[in-house]
Amino acid sequence: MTSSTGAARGAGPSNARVSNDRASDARATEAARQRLAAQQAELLHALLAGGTPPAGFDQQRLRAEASALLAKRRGVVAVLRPDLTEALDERFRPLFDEFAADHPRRAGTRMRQDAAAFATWLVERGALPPPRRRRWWHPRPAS
Amino acid sequence: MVAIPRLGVGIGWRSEIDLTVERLPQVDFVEVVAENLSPDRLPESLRVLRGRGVPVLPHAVSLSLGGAEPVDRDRVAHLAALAEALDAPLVSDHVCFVRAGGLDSGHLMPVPRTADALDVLVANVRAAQAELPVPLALENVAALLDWPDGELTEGQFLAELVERTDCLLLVDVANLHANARNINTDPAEFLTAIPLERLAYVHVAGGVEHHGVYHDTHAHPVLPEVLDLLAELRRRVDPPGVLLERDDNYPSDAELAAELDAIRAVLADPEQRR
Repeated sequence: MTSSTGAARGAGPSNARVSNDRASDARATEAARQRLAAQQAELLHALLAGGTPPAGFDQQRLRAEASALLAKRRGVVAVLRPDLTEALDERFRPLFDEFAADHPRRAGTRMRQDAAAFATWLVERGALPPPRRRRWWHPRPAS
Repeated sequence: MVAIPRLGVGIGWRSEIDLTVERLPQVDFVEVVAENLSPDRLPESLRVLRGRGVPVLPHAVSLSLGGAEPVDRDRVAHLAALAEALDAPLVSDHVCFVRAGGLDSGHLMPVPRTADALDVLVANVRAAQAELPVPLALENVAALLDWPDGELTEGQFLAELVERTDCLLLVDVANLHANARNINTDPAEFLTAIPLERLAYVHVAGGVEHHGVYHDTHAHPVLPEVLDLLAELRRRVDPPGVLLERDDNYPSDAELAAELDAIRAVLADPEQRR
């Protein structure tokens, strides 16, 4: 068995027919992609960005999934930025959850960028002081 | 059709437990998370294992083969390069999507079990297979929710996928347990529906139950119920490989060795778990 279509078979349909079938398959797959994209986008927006829950799902399961996804993201950020968990202590979780609700992770954003965005957000809203300038940035004092 | 290699019993290699994995007795093969490695800068520990002839299998988590978008060729190229660098007999990812609508879920999300989702998955898997130097095995995921209007069971869905792509299967028995607990699937029906002759290997992992929901954490001991499912699978087929996944909250070497021993005991005599 191969992963190609039946086109390779010697006794198969004519080349023109195969070509038409392939074009028709490709169109069908493209249409399926569009329908699937809408379904998957609706679900992720509900789970990650406060979107309307899609019809037909068990609401309790949606809440459990949203909570699990948030916990996983929060856990990864905590591992990447122990300085933030230390500085915030018990405030880490509520602040991260507030950040996450307004800043769903965009496709193509790495977890390190996510963690850095959280750090910036914390400073902007006054939850943490701006990071101290590192000493080696300062020019040597003139002697 | 390529012969499926005998792998034996192995453990997920993670940088945090690299020395443990090297020291554990009778580790027949290991698996690495593909996204965590660079083919041109392989960790010394993996060179040591390869030097001993231990197969190292790249396991990807980000191809999003069940996603609506065409497969990302750069991600497939990375997996292919890693397979070449490690001289791996096969590679794997999951039947899932991770990105949609411009967002990244950060997790392996289940796909709807519809004709549309199957057509797209098949197209994506074929595109990935065309770029990979070795066979691709696909794994069942743990789901906390179920899509409405599923036209097939998960087992039937995977059987169709294998039929249309000739991919291999990676069966995670902890995920089977998770789905049985969380969305009321039937593991026996799953094992009956899938083509077990296309099984590449099996994942076993630990988890924990909170408020009636089983969480597939890979950070807790393997539950007896999960070993029961491994026995159920073993009664039907002699799996080419079984691999223990532990990703966090690492226990002592002795505890990991004991979990591997428990897996070997089930494989040697599945009747002990009746």
